[in-house]
This record gives sequence, structure tokens and C-alpha cells, in this order.
Amino acid sequence: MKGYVVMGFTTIIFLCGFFPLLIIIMSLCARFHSCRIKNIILLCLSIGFYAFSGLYSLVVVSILTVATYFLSLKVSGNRKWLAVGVVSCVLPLLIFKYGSFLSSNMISLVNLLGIHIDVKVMEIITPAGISFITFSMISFLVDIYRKSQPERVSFFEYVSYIFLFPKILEGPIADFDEVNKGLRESTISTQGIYEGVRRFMLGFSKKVILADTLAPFVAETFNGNIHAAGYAWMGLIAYALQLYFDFSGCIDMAIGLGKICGFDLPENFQDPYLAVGIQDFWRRWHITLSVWFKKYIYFPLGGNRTGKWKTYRNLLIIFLLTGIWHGANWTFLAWGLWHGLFMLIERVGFGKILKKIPLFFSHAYTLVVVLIGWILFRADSFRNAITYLQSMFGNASYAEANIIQLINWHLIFLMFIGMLISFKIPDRILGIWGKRIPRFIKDLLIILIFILAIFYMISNGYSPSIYTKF
Amino acid sequence: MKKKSSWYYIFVIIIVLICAFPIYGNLIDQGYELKGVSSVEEKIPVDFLSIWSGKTQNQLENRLKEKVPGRTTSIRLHSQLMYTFFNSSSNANVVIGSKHSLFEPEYLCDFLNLWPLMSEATQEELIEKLNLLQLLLNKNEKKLYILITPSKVRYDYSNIPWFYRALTKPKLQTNYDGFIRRLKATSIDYFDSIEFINENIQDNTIFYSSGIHWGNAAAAQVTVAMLKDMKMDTGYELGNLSINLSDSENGSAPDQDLLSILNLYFYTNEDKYKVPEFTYSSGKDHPNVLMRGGSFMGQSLSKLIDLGMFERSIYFQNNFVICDRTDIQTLSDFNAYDEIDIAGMVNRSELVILEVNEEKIWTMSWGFIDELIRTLQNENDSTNIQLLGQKSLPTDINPWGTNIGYIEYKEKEAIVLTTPLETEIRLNNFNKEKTLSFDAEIHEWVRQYSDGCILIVKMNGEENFEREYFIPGGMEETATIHVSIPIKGINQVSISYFNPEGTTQDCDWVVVQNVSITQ
Repeated sequence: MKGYVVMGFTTIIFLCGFFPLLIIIMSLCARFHSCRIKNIILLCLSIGFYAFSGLYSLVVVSILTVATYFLSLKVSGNRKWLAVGVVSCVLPLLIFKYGSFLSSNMISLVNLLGIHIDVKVMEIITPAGISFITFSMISFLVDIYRKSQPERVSFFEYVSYIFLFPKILEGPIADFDEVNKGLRESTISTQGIYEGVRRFMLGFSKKVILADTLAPFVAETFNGNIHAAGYAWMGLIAYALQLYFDFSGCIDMAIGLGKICGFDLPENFQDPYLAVGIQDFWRRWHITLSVWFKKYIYFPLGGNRTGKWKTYRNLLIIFLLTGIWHGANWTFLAWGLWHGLFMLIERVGFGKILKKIPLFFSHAYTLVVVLIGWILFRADSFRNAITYLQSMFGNASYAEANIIQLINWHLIFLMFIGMLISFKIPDRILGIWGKRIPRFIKDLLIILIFILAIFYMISNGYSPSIYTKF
Repeated sequence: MKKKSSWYYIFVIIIVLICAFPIYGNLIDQGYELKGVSSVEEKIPVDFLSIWSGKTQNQLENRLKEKVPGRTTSIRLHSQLMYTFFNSSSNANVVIGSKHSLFEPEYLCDFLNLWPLMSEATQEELIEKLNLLQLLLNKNEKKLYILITPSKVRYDYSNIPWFYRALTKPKLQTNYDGFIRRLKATSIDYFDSIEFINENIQDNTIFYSSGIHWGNAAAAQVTVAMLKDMKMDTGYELGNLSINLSDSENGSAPDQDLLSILNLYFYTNEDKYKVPEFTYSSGKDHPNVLMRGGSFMGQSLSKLIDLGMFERSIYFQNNFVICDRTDIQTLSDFNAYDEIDIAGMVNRSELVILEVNEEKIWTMSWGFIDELIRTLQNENDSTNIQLLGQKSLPTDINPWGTNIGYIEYKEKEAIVLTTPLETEIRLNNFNKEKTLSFDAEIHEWVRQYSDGCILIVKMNGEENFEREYFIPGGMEETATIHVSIPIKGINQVSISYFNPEGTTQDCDWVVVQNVSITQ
């Protein structure tokens, strides 16, 4: 049985059904200032949204939600119950997301030792968004333990927090306080809905026009074969853009949807490809994940207050966990350690050098480290990652048919636009003049781009052939 | 402030209306039907397990995406945008080159050697199969004819997309080069339309910018020439054919096949189309025909059927079969031969024509040749004959231009071997107890100059053994040897010859004839 993630934000069901319905309902709630009814409707919509990923996901997460809620009633100031609670959250994550990976590696290890085991590893369906959900649950329990939460959180509030649909599948990772404000106060306004819709449209356009269009080209270049260097570099840049616009596009949509519903979800990206140094990069990329690890792992381990070597150890642990959190593969672990290593190098002294050298060089260094890291992040295996590096720095002259077929002016144009946006070139060019453009002109432009994105969404994958009868 | 909040309302309402496009999408689409063949719809499973796993929901989304009103307009506008602003295609099956010339990627990839060339061994194997097919058809008093059709890339090379040219190396040899060279060394009847076009057609009607298939006008000219050739080769008096070409604004199908599947509103097309009108005067013979090939048959061979040249016809193009111009059957795949009665098709046909495009030689007929061979061979006998070690030779060395091949000898099919040891007739896959028999002699043209040679027959199977037979040369009266060997537990027989000590290779053209495997 394979799990499907269906009700993403860029599906017809969501765009033409859920989204307009949401706007209408929230507008009515804003008009009638009814917080209670809004919350009930929101919970129903959230559960309905999540159920579209499969009843299996809904049932599993519901059980976990109920379990962690009852545990939360006991954790306040109680370390033992906190431990039970955290284990109860982590164990399902380990089983669902890492079960197959751990089992197959254990079997390989045993076989290496000479004991032959012929066992088929069962593929376990991972409930949609389990990584984000688990982190939300852990943060809730730990915050209660630390007494930073009100003594009593109602079951309704907790369920609403866990299932809040804008953030359940891909984040951002928000803590209970951030969400609860929207639940307890009637914060929906016409302006909020307007800003939310606008943000959603921008995110939708980023994902559909840029990320989804680059995806087929990226998939071909990362197919595990040796290519000419030009293709490899082009593929890597395309991937860097795809990843950023896909993830940040989804976050924009999530924040926009949150805004429509009266929630202020935290930002997750801040122009990461403008970072100067890896330390800076992690202040701009997946910000809520970094904050979570800092609050709930790094600081409890002692942070940077327990001496130089323990600080380095803590940093490496964080990045090891960051890597493994992203996926059940050794390459993710390697990616995390790659970033951890450069964090350490900068911490030890290179960071100071970066501040002194011209911006161009420190920026270039950051991009190179990040891009090479993305190879590990994207490749299915170390072998494929090494093959990719060989392609980038080798002298192969192979021209792969599948890749050439995807190269055209449109792809090149989108990559160019993607790079411009990533480096905020339009903002720099427009400067003050950009602020003088009337808002409604900007909004009309956004509407046009949104309509274009809908065309892209519907057309993506439509490639008829000519083989009809004559 | 009030102005701002008015704008907020208007903005949100506009967005809701945009997202509600499925409600009015049909009005926008105006009944236009998208051209082209896309994937078959999957049924939406509605059962507990599917809903549990999310499969139902996933399929529902896919179905909505295919059926949503407004989809047609979205696709067309997206395609138009790509075409107008980027000279690119939104359709992965279409590539746009210079001057808006359209190509299918696979034709580019094959012609530019982006896909690996067929190996020598694979090419040899294909020719051997065709030789065997011809032998088997002839045994059943049927004829084989092959038509080779051209690729657009050959004739429109200057307009292929710049990045294909820039990113690929120039090719030295094509699959077509190897195939035609080997085909010429056989006795198989064929018509090479590329050779004909190069000599006879110089205008831009060979291929139009708007399509991937050859223009109907050029194909018609090839058809007329091919018919003359076919009559000579097959001996059938098939009548006479002529054509009249006239100008046309939009040509006739499939002159604009690729352009149509882009589903554009506006496009640039400077093609000057010509359409042919056939005039046919019936001949004496109307054999039953079986045609197998790809879509390039549609502009050429199919016209012969439409004109009533054949008594009965089976037209098998890609994955659909039309029997006698009326009975149409669509197969699940190009090689779903278990869905049709090949034996019946072959039995009722007297002439078998195979069409192959120069870019599709590597997948010629999609396994149909193997199916025909299998069918034509005895049900209990799956033996097949291979000719090994074939090389082309200059015709001043021997008239057939080959060191091993099928020839006509004393008005019957025969195999000639002209070089000792390196040439070999191999018979495979015997089952059951049989008797192999054949005749062998030195070719009568040169026998008087030959001093004879030794024929060696090797048997491989449960036991391996070999037998030798002396084939006399000179003016011997009894020049033919008859070999008859019982075969039991044998799965391969190899026939070759050599010169014993004291004899020479001169004029040892060994002819093997009347090969039969009987019980």
C-alpha cells in the first residue's frame, strides 16, 4: 500500500474547491466576529483537508494527538512523564519514517558479518507531514513542562493546533502560542484576508511556474549517469532554484492561508541565497526548523555555554539531526554533517575572515558550499552523488537525449528569472521607484501571474502524441 | 482608508471568481477539442482500502485535472505563450526549431546519434531474420517487399533546434547506412525512398515545417516509383499509377500533424502545400497483401489499398489493423500479437510488405518479423536458419556481392557459400527426432575450374560429432551430393566447407539447396 499526498495547495480540488470556500467562510466570520464558530469550522476544514491524504494518515495522527494530549496533562514539571511523552512522539516517527531504512541497514550489517538473512523489508506508509506534526507535539509537551504554557489547554485547542491545515503538511513549524493567539482572538479582518490571499497567490505562482517547471529537467540530470559538465552545473543550479521556490512557495501559501484564517504563522525563509557564510545561511533557510532545534535540542545540551568542544559537539549533533530529519537516507545525514562541518569551520575562525573579505567572495563561498551540499541532498545514494560530482568536474562530453529534449529557451528564461528573484535583483533595480508603483497595479500584475500559474498547473504533464489513424 | 478596503474586497472577489473557473470554463472553451492522443483514463477505485490509503483521492484529483472545464483554454494559452515568446513547445513530444519547423524528439535523437547506434551484430541479426523470412515466405509461395522511408531530420537539418546541433557531435554513420549496405547484399526486394528522393525531388514538399511525416506530395511520387519497381521485382502485373499535384492552403492529413497537437490560436506557417490526386489503371493481378509498418505507410502504401490494387488487404500500422478496408482492430500495444491471428493473416496473403523508417530500423516492425518467422515455420519444428560470417564483396569477385547469401539456382531458392571456413549455415532449435537432408554442389558456372572441396557438417547437442563430404569439382558427371543425417538429441547443426591439403580455394562456390527437416 502506498501513501498519497493529495490535497496539496496546488491541486484542482484545493484551488477551485477548498480555497474559495475558505475565503467565503472566513469573510463571513470576519463580518460576524464569531471566534467560536470560526474555530469549529476551521477544525472541520483542517480535518477534511488532512483526510484527503488518506484516512490512514488521519487515524494515525488522531491517535497520536489524543495520546499526547493526555500525556500533556501530566508533564507539567514532571521529567519522567516528559520523557514518556517525547518518546511517544519520536517512536512513531522512527517507525513510520525510518523503519524501513533502519531495518534494511540492520539486515545489510548482519549480512556483512557473515550471517545471511533473507528477509523482505516491509514498506511502511508514512502519514503525511509526520515530521512536522511530531515536532509540533514535542514542542507542545516541552513548553508545558517548562511551564511556558497556560496550565490548562483544552483538547479542542490542542487538536486545532495540531491539525491546523495551513501548516500541517509542510510547516512552518509554529509553537502553540503562535497559533493559539489566532484561536483565542477574533483576528480575521478584510485586510488580513486580502494580504493572505495575495501571499497565497505569490507562493502558488512561485511553486507552479518556477519549481514545477524545473522539476523534470532536474530529475533527468540527477538520473545517476555521467553527463557533460555543462549539464551537471545547469542541473544543480536548476535544483537549487527548484528546491527554494518549491519550499518557499509552499510556505508562502501556508502563511497566506494562515493569514486568511487570522493566524500569523512565522516566516521560514529570508533570501537564503544572499547569505554570507553558512551560519548566515541557516538564519535564512528553514528558519523555524533551526529555531526548533535551538530551543529543544541545542539549548538543553548546553548550547555554547559549556565550553568550546561541547559547543562544537552540540553543533554537530544538531546538524546530524537536521540532516536525518529531512529523510531516511545516509545522504541526508551526510548533507547535515557537510553543513555542520562548515558551521564549525566558521565558528573556529573562518567566520571572522568572511566578514573581512569582499562580499563577493564570501557570497561565492557560501553558494559553492550550499550547492555542493544540495548534491548530497538530492542524490539517491552516495554513488549517484559522486557520479554527479564527477560530471561537474570531469570532461565527459556525453549528450544525453533525455536532457537535451528538455532544454529550451523557456527553461533558460525561467532559470534566469529564478536567479534574479533569489538574488533580489528586481528589488534592487526598482529601488525606491518600486515603492511608488500604486498598489493596485502591483496587485493586477499578481493577478495576471496567478492566472498564468493556473495555466501552468493545468498544462503541466499534458503532452499528447500524434498517433491517430489517418 | 475606505478606498483601500474597497480595493481589498474587489481583489478578493476577483480571486474567488478566478478560482471558480470550473463553473464557467465550458463557456470559455467553446467546445474546442484538444488534438492529439494522451493517456488513457484510469478508473477511480472506490473501495475502503483505496480511500484508506488515499488512492481514491489521488485518482479523483487526476480525473478532475483532465476534465475540469476551462482546461482546454488553459492548455492552449500556455502552449501559445511558449510558442510565441520562447519558440518552445509545451508538449514534450514536439520540439520547435528555426523558422518554426517542428520535430519529434525521437527522430532528432536517433539521427544525431544521441541514442547508441545498432551494433554490427544486431544489424547482422536483423538481416539474417529478413533473409529467413524471405526464404520461408518463398517456400509458401509468397513474396516479401520492403519500403524504407525517410526522416525529416535528414532533409531539414538546418532548422533543427540550435541546442541539439550545438550539444551533439556530427554523425559519421547512421543505422540506415549499415542497414542499406547489408540489404543490398541480399536478394530481398526493396525500395529505398531516400535514394529516390535524393535523385528526383528537390523542393520543400518532402517535409513540411508543420509535420513530422513526409508530405503527401513527395510520398505520392515515391509511391508511383515504388510501384514500378515492385512490379518488376515481384512479377505481379499491378497496373499503372500516375499523380497530379495541386496547390493547397492547408495540405491534407498528416501534413500538419505536429502543428495541430500544439493546439495553438496563432502560428507562423509558410509552407506551400501540395496535394496529390492519383490516377490508377487496374492491372491483371490483384494479389492479397499484408502490410506492416509505421505511420509513414499512411501517405504511401495505404493509397495502393485505397485504389483497389489488391484483392484483399491487411493494413497493420503501429497498433491498429484494418482488414479489407473495413474491419478495424486496435491492439493494446504495438507488439500485442497475441491479440490477432497472425497465422490467418499470413495464410491469406500473397505479398508481404514491410515499411521501416530510417530512424526506426532498430525497432523494425516491433517484433513482427519474429512473429512471422515463428508462424511460418512448421508447428512442430521451430528450427531456424542463420547465415553467419556474411560480408559484402565487390561484384568483380562474385556476381552476388557477398560471401554467403540466398540466391536462385536452377529456378529454386538456394544458399551459396563462396569463402571456406569463415562462412557457415547454422540451423538451430531442433526438437524431436528428425532427418536433415540437403543437396550440395559446386556452382555450375565455375565447377569445371574447381578441384573440389570438403563439406563439413557439425552436430551439437547431447553428443557432438561431425561428418565430412567431398564435393567434386571439374567435369565430374555426378556433381551433386545428397546429405541425409538423422538427428536425435541435437539442437544445432552447422554447415561449412574447407579445402583439404593439396586443393585450392579457387572457384569453390558451394551451393546448398533443398534443405529440409522431416520426421
